[in-house]
Amino acid sequence: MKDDAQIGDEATTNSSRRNFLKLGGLAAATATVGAGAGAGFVLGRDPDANIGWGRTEAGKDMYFNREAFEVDFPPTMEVVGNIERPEWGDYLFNRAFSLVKSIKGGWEPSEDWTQIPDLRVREYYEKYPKRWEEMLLSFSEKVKHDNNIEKHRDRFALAWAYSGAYSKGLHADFPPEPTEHPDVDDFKWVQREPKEFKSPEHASKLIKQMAFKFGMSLVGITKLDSNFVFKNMMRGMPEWGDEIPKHWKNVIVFGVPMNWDPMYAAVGYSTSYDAYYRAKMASGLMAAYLGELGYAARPQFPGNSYEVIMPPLAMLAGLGESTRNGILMTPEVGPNIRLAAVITNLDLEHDKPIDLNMKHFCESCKICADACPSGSISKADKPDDVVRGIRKYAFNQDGCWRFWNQGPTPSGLGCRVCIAVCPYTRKNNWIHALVKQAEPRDPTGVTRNALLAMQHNFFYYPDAESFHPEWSGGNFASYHQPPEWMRSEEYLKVEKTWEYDGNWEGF
Amino acid sequence: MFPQSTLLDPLFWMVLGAIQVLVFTGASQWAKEYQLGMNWWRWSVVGFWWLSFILTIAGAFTLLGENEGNAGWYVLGFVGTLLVIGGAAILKVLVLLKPNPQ
Ligand code: SF4
Ligand code: SF4
Repeated sequence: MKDDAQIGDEATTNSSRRNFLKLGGLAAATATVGAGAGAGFVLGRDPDANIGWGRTEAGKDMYFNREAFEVDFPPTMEVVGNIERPEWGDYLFNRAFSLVKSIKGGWEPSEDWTQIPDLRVREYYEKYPKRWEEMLLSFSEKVKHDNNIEKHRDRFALAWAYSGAYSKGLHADFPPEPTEHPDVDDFKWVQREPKEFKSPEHASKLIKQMAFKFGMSLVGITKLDSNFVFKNMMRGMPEWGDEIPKHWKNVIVFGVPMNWDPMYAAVGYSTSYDAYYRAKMASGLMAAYLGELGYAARPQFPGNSYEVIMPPLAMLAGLGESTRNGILMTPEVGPNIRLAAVITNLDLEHDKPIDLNMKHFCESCKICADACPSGSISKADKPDDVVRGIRKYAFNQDGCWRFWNQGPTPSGLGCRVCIAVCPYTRKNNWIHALVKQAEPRDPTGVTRNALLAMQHNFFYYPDAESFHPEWSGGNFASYHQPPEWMRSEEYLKVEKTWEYDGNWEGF
Repeated sequence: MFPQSTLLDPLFWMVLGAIQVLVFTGASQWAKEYQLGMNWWRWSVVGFWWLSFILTIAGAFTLLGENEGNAGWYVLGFVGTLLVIGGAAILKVLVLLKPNPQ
């Protein structure tokens, strides 16, 4: 039997143990709240979330399991007539360079597009006469751009240096440009008799691993569909008809995102050159690798070295879908992807296209169309144009080009605002990865609607006009403010005379 | 909490996991003091609420960390407020449903 004193002692001990647990529990709960906030914050900051910078070699940038979404034909490539192959003049850079050449040769552009000297360019504006206004405007806007751009170098010095460095790399001579007939040039890579693979499956498995090892985040393989090969265009050949070289069997399409923080700070702080450089180098490495094993290769790479249109081939290779802003939309990096490819005669197993419900997402979203500083993206509820037999959202590439010429980049090339604002352009941190995994799997559309309600109400998007430079009525706004390493006032002896307009951490 | 750190990051998550034992032991003591008669479904509701609350805070701060300042504060204010109200409602229900003392 315990005496009263013992019972009293035990009661006191139990009560202080209970108090300890109660207060300890409260303290632990408070610590958990703090730890949740702290961990969340650093996970948001974590560069590990920047797909394309760390998990690449293991192939873990491509984290979305596409198998359950495979279909025979991409739903966003709706064929509504005869598919026509693209013409030389359909390629914006061909038109722009030809017009510049004519101007340098003494031709004075006017509102009358019928006076354009190059027939191939004229044929394009015969199809889209309204777009000529935009192209014409781009010339005068470029002059304004060139007269103003240097006044802003203090602000953009670090961003332009970053972009300039990659531009130098991009213009290096690897992979070399073809100089002869593709039957000769594509075989220059070949070093020996072909080594036979066990099967096309083995070849594809290995080639994809190599794409990751060469630094690419996403890769897919498809048959070379001749519908997406340009007519009248073959690098290395001054004249070309519409034939397709016999050895062009398959195409390996791969890509890498642009560095996230500058991309979010489009226009002035962003550049495509970093991703262009990486994708271009990977196409050269892949061509050389195929050549070492005895197979022909034809690299297709940015800025301008193509015989094919890349986004539809990427869709057929299962990398993503087509969207309102006309860029390939991938489940991992949204439209923040820069592509390159290698056409080869190696027999490969093909990937299948995927259906991610992107069609419905773009129908309800329209964020890129509202933000586009040139108003080039359609705001229609459904795809409202047919281009070469495929239904699409209307897109005015000449309007987009006009804004490139206005934008605060030293070369007057590129904008990327529609990529930065897209809700699918989000880093690979846990909240966005959760949403990107959930949304395509939700047949009810509840996730999509909840997500878009948050995007429209909780997120800050500067007005379309604000993205313009000061000399054309804007305030150099960007979706995110530039990262610290691009702010010249942090590192250079400059006087800061500007304010930033864009999202920032909120403290 | 310590990304890119080989040692501190896994240690942090282990400690945070261990702390949860203390959180639930403490909660159990409070529940006993108020005689809430906790059973499996009551604990499930409380556990689910706690997880949602912590994930909301972590999610909002992830947005702040990736420079989505606006969205971060809105999520915290909007979803956080809903969860606080939800938490109060759960507590009220637990008190209302507490078994009568014999
Ligand atoms: S790049 Fe810029 S101008 Fe062109 S469509 Fe996108 S947002 Fe518009
Ligand atoms: S911003 Fe919206 S509408 Fe535009 S491409 Fe992205 S998801 Fe589609």
